Amino acid sequence: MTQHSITLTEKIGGDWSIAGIALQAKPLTELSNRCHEATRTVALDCGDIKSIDLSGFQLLYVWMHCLHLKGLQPKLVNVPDFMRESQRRLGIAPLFDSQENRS
Amino acid sequence: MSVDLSQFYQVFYEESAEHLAEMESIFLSIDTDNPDEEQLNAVFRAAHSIKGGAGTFGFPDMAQVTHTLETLLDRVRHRELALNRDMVEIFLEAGDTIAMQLAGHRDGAHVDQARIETVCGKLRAISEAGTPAAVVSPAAQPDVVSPDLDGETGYHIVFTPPPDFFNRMVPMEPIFAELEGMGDLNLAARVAAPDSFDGYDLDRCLTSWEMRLTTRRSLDEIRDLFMFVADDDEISFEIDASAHMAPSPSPAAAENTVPAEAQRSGPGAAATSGILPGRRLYDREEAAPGAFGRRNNESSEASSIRVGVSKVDQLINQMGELVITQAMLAQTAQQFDPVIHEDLHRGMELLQRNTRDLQESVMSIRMMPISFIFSRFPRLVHDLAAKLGKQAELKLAGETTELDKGLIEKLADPLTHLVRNSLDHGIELPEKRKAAGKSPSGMITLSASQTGGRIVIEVIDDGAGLNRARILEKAVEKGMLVTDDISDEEVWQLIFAPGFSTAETVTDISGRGVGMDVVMKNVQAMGGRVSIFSESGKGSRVVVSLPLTLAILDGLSVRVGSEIFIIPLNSIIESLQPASEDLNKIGRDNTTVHVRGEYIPLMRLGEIFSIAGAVQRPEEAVIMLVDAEGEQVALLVDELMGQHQVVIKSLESNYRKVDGTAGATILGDGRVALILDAVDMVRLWRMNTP
Repeated sequence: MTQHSITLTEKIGGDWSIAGIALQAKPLTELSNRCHEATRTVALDCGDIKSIDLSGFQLLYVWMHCLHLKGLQPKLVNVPDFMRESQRRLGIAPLFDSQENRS
Repeated sequence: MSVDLSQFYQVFYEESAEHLAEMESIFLSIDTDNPDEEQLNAVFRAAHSIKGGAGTFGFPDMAQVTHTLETLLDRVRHRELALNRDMVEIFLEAGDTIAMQLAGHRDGAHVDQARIETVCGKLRAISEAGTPAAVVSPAAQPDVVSPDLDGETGYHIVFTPPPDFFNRMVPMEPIFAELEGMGDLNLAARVAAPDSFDGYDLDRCLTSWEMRLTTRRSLDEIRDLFMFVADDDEISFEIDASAHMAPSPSPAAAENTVPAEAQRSGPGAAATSGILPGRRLYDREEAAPGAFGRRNNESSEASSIRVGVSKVDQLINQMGELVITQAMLAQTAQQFDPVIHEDLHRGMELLQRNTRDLQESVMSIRMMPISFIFSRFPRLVHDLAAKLGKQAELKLAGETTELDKGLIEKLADPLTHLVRNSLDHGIELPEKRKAAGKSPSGMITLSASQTGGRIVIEVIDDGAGLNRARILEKAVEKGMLVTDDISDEEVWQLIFAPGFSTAETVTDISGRGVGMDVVMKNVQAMGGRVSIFSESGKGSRVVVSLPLTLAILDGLSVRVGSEIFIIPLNSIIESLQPASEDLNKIGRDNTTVHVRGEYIPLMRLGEIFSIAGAVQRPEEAVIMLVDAEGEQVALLVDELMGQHQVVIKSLESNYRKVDGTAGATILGDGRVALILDAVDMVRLWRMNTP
């Protein structure tokens, strides 16, 4: 019997700065709850993120960390260049890399 | 939810203005041939601080210009560029441009983009031309310019922001970018992530940073970057002896989710050898030492807090009311027998003493050194002399003389006009000065001092002096009634007439005739006076005399008929009851009093103010000898009442200007008394005396 692993992909976007993250936390919680037993990977498509600051990155990181503790593999996909640059400049890029590379 | 960063703007504006003033002052005094290293470091630090603040508070335009300037200053201080006079002029221009941008953000003033472009272009041109520094022997060169690693220091910096860090909306990217520009930086963030997403607090900062920086920059410069961001207990700097060997923190290390609070360096940790405290600009407890960017090691004398002027004015008004209330109580208490009510009288004395101490303390808050105005003049003289093709030196004296803040602000324009006049009309061109046997460089002296109850400010120049004939000629042309035999003093007063100018040509500096009358009006509005003394070929002296304070003074109450007047205590020389033989009648209406060999004119207050019932015979009254700016006059009053501390109330704003007075006050019994102005009274008396 073959066990299928499911990748759940969710699109996120909008304002992920301190002014806007209050609206972003709920969808993340809902997404966590939607994960099926067979879900192995949860991918966040960041293509529609318009702005993000440290508070937004921290939210994403904590969410990913918590998913990881549940045995899931979270990852960010379609990350815009400005977001990658911001991660690099804030010194948090390695945090996300390590989170995604954990098995 | 967010914090309004604009609440911190005022501090940034004020501190930036101070940094700009410091830069200007240094540029004006720096020896370009042999610049002082500390001065170069100081201007660099000033530019650096402005840039840091501008970046933090979101003024990228200011940050950009300051960054260009700072980069050049950095090269100059490291002797990579040789300083010269032209460069200093451009640096001054850059400072003006940053000040313009600052005014644009602060006051909404117009910002000339073309000027910004021009200045940036000039700064870039210096950078590209790269005037190399004179070859200096290695021995003479400090090791900071050494290109090898020996001049570098490794720092281990840990910044653990407080939980409410997000709400401050401080962008960390520019700060890290600055650090990166300083040398070799390894930056690693950590997030103290919880184990459950439930209950995650979006506003709580769980992120901290660990940095390893190898740089030739000083610790102060690094610390300055965090000036607006980190408090002492949130950041630590440790000199890292293994800087060159230390690997960058690995992602694995970053994964180590140590709670942020646990990482925070407490006071004990800060005291650990090698760990140096940082500072940050704003704080939840603004009164805390180290808040608002001030160093903890500042002496208590130097530390200060910024308080709104309206709050201070409110305090002074309340103080004024307290003084009046105390005076009323004192008057009421006099009705009680001092033996039976000894405790009451003792209490009243104590209240009076405490009120006076409190009043002095409160008044001192508003006092500012006149250097706040004087400091602008070196630049003004420097620029104007260059524009006029003249040589001039400015000498400042008495810069620590303190003056009420209200007067300081109003004095700036009149003084600026007087200094410009001295340079434009007074100081001659170098050739003309040489021909007159003078030094080619003129001297303008700006001095301030406290004389009695007044502040005296003098603008003195060793120029050509006022031209009596020319002033009279112009006065006649303007249809003013003058005769050739009027005194010099009266001739000089003519230049205060509206629209009066003897300048041959109108320039943007002066000559429009809209100056001296405005100077006079402004000074008079402050309760002050302007006098001119001039000698042809030797120069002029303009004396501005102002009251020491606008609020409370010590005075002596005197009665004339049924009226009470207050004579400022500091203008009183003595009081006496004259004998008949000391009184000399001159003509029909004038009398002099003979006091110790001098004949002093007698002024009858009753007559000046048309008071019925005033004592007519001086022998039956009291004479007050008062000083009217160097001139002694005798005031005839009926009776001396007592000494008071009085609160000055403006007559103009409550009633109208009354000649011969400096205002009014409310006495302990609720009556209003006029406060006499001796000099104005002499003027009034002379006008009414045949």
